[in-house]
Amino acid sequence: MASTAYDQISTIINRLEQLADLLNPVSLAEAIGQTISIVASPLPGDAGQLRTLASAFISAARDAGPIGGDLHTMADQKLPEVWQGDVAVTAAQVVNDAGDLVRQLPPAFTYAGSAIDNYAGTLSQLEGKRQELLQQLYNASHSVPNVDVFGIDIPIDPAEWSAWIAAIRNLIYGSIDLYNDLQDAADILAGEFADVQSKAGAGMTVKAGMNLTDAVVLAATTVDGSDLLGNAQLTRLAEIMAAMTPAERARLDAVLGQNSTLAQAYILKALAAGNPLSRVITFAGQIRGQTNPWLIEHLSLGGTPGKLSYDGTALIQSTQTECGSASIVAAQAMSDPIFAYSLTTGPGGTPLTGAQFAAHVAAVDQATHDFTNTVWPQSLGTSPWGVAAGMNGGAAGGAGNPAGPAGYGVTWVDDTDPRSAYPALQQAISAVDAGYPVPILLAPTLGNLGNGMHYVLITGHSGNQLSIYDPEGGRITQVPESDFLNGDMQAYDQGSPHVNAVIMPSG
Amino acid sequence: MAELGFDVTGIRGQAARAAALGDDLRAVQGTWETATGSAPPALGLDVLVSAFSAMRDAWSEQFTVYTEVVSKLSGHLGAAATNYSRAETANTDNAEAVMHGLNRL
Repeated sequence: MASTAYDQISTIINRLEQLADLLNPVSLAEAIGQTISIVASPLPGDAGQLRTLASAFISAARDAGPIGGDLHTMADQKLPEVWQGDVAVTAAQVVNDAGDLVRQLPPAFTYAGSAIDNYAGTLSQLEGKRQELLQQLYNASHSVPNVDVFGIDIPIDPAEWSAWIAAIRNLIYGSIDLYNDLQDAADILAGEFADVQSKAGAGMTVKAGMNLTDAVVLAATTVDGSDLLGNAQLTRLAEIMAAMTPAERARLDAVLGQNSTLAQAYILKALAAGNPLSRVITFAGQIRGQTNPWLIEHLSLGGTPGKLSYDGTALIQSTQTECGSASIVAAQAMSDPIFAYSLTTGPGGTPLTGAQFAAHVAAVDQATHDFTNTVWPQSLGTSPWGVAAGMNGGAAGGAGNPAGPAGYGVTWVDDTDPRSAYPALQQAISAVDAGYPVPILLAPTLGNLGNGMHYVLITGHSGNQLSIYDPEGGRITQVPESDFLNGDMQAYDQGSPHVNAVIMPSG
Repeated sequence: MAELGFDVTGIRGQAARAAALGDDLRAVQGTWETATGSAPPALGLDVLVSAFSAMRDAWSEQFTVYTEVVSKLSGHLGAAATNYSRAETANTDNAEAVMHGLNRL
């Protein structure tokens, strides 16, 4: 069974729209014939086989369920120090982390199984609808009056023709809905597959060249329930480490060995952010011996749950027009621990007070605004391409942009058109799942780049909820994906509910 | 037997438990890979085939990481048990040699 190109479904929809637009008494029979020839083909996919596929995921989830717990039980027992040769990692830690990772399998596979099963259900339903439409089209083809344009003029009641045209147009519109629904369902399933893929970070990292132990320990390191390094960062880190000389690797291993597990993860995150090894080694010395709460507050701005904050002071935009700048600063702080450290400490590594932090952030926001607005008036905020430049340019003093060499670009969104909003949402979700923060531009109306526009930052994703950081108050809140799709982002700015643009990483 | 502070029997038990967990994981992986390997055409659309294949490949790698970690642990534990056992045997031999020497005095 060969697969059908998604674009072919778009072509079918366009063809049906043309047929519906051009309906008239002369074209009616031909339009019915062409619609029948399109709708006669069964929809691509096999719902029965998909249900079997779904059950394979559910079974694997059930069978793997107890194994993660068994690994944790082993880790809790006294294990001899057998993990020789790997840096600063105990056997118990590796086994415990492997247990954590194995425990991620059942929910991920249950989610995949359920997603496939839902798609199979939708496919069955749509296939039934297709067969009904086909039957109605056949019935119509036998009943619709013919008109001979070259022969004798047959008198036909115009009202009767109008009724026929309306009926056939409805059938064609029904067919268009059918194929649109198929594409929508496929978009959802493709996004769900990307979600599940994003949970397999250790495997992807090992494939990219990282050693087994490092990959397991890093993939299992979380802060406030979120992975400290996303898959994109893990993969980039694996590439950087694979390219190191033995001497460089020895220098890195030496400083890793002097730090706690969480500090090691931050050191490697700094490396993944593109900082030079010498700077990373200096940073490792600066954070050596610090407690986990200290590390999380200074390097993740995670002092207060549900906020980006430090010493009780939220990371917020400094002026009314700097939501774009603050979003860039927040994105870099989340992606580069050395940049976060620079925001929270003064010269010599002295921790700042909350007030000093706020003043420092205000200066960095302004510097970022100066960088992003070379032409665009600062009084109008930041343009979307200015935000993209800021994300790419390290204007806030970060080592580099969160997306690495691939960079960020602007994707325009029309949230009144699901075929525009849905792909943008899915792309944003994939990026966030991979570890990229994603700025979005909200505005009162579509196409609005003036008064009322506001940037927020997608920082996470779980199920059908987006975690969104708002630079206006520094809060991170959960918003349903449907609010993004339906132009209903009221949670942030009642006057600016529409997503106008997404600043998307390309890599 | 823990004369030198090592519970060799316990460590052997841990090695066997790790090996069994590795076998369990490989069994789950094998069943899942067989059941899902020929699935993509049933998805119908090319975008779904490609997204599914990427997801399946990533999870195959992830399974392999699980099994390798557990295999590595099992191997290390088994080797440690062997080394500790040898050390204890050597210790016992030494003790017997000392006793033998003492008896000859």
